[in-house]
Amino acid sequence: MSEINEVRKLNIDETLYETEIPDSYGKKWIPEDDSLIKAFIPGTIIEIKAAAGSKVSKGDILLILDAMKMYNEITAPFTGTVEEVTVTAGERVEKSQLLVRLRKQQ
Amino acid sequence: MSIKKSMNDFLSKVQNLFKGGGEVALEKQKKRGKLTARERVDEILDSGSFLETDLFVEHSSTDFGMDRKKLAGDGVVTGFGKIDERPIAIFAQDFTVAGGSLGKAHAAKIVKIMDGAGTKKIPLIGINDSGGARIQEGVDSLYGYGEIFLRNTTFSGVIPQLSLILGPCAGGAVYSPALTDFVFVVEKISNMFITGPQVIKTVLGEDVSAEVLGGAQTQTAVTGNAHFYAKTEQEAFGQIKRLLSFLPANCLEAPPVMESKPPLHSLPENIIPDNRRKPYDVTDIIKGLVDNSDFMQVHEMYARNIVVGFARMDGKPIGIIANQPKYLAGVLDVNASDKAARFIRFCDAFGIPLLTFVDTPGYLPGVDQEHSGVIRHGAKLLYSYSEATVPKITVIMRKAYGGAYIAMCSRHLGASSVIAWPTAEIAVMGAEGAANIVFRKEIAASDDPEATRQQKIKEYEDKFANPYVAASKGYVDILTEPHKSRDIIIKAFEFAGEQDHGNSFRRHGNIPL
Repeated sequence: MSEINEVRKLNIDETLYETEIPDSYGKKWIPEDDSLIKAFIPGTIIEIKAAAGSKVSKGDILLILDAMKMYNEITAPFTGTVEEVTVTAGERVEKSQLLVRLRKQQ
Repeated sequence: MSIKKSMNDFLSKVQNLFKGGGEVALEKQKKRGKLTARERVDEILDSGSFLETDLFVEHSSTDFGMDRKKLAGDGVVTGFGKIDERPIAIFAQDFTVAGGSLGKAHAAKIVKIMDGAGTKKIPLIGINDSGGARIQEGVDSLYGYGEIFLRNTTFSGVIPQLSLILGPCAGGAVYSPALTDFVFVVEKISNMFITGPQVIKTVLGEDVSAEVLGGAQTQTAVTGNAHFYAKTEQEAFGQIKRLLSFLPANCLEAPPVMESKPPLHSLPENIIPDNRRKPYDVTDIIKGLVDNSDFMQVHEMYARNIVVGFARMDGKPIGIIANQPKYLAGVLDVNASDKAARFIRFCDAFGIPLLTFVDTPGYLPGVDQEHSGVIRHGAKLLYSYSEATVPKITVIMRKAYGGAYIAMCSRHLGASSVIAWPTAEIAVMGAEGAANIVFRKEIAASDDPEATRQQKIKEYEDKFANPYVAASKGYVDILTEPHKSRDIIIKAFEFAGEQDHGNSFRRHGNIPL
């Protein structure tokens, strides 16, 4: 039925309580790396506007992803340099596939 | 036409309509392990009580060859009947007729029976078994859903609305059950989702079965969309009857009183473990206090750190909310707050008094909780307790710390009476955490910090880990032992009246959603 959980210790305000804890609790939180531009949805790359080595400003269109009957503009989240474009025009991409690697302007 | 012929015509028409989508389709329904719409209605209702309406309704759609199609009852059975001799209104979608698809006439039948339930002020039971909108009828089927949603909402808090999902229920169709008070699902039969596995596969490339995506287990344990889980349709029908036994027919009627019965077993005196870090099952305490030890859990598999459900005390129905130390130490979190708040608001809407059992160390820490909006969700619990005007009795069994103490129907949120056991610890936080903050400098300056820390924890515990500080301020009304609590709770309910917040001029509050 529900997940079977072994009795473990849960720390609330420095007191350790013996209790069942689901496996989903306590997974280490990893912050998103915003310099890695990934596909938020599967689709097809229609056009690539950014070239490796070029400078981009925050909001510049990097590429266009055709998905959900929409040409989605994928833009730079910050001003910096394009390190690498890992896809080509016409390529089908999976969800969360890496599209562009950026480097922040120092 | 002779009378005899018209009678025979009539009977043969009825016989045809009773066949639904025909023998082949009925056989297919059976092969899926499902009962037919008519069998379902017959099994839920008291024998012979069903009064069917609109059997002869037909659609008037003409596009895509629909003018040549006869659909028995337009794919839905509607009418009135009785459960344990109390009237209810019911509709059951018939999957054997055009896949139970919802067209304009089908929707109009449902709307009519809903209006019947609303004006007669009797509970409504909806049985969902439908492929969704009848595409051939276009926007008319969308109109149909909208009309149903409107009534689900208009009658919310007026009559109890129960939804059985006994087949597919996808797309817009899911929102009628979602707007009702209680949703029942059955293993391997129920499926609910907005976008099905096929769409998800096409759009996202994700492979997921209908069962995993929105089956009975998923809807009860993962999403909380459904409140009751059953292995068979018959078991679900039993759950519906049991649930209705606790509920009034409408918000103006008092909940049904039965003969008072003692619990099957009394509470052992050592029910609370000596060590405050040790768990126990709070349902053992509930069953040791309520009539006949009969406790019907709602959302049993969802957010198990809080337990909610119906029971009786002295024969009168009550709604119980209890922290569950056995699971996640009984902390409050996003899902537990939502679960309890929805239950509290249902009880308050239908005049069912609330009994709260407290043993919680606080809120669940974590990035996930904060990012999921534990502030906003936790606020629902505060809001719903504060808003409730039914009698509210709170029993503090053990830990009642900090914000979680306030949230669990404290006197400050308007409890009619707060009862505490000698094992209660009403404090701003646990001794370990508090000692580390209050005595931080002394612990740091000590030659033996750990010894000093332990000593300070002990000091804090002796002073604050009890019910007496709160009782001395009047935050606790009554101190009693566990085994005497049943009588005290019954008395407290007897003297607690309906509260009047004096704001009946307001249109409605704005609960944080």
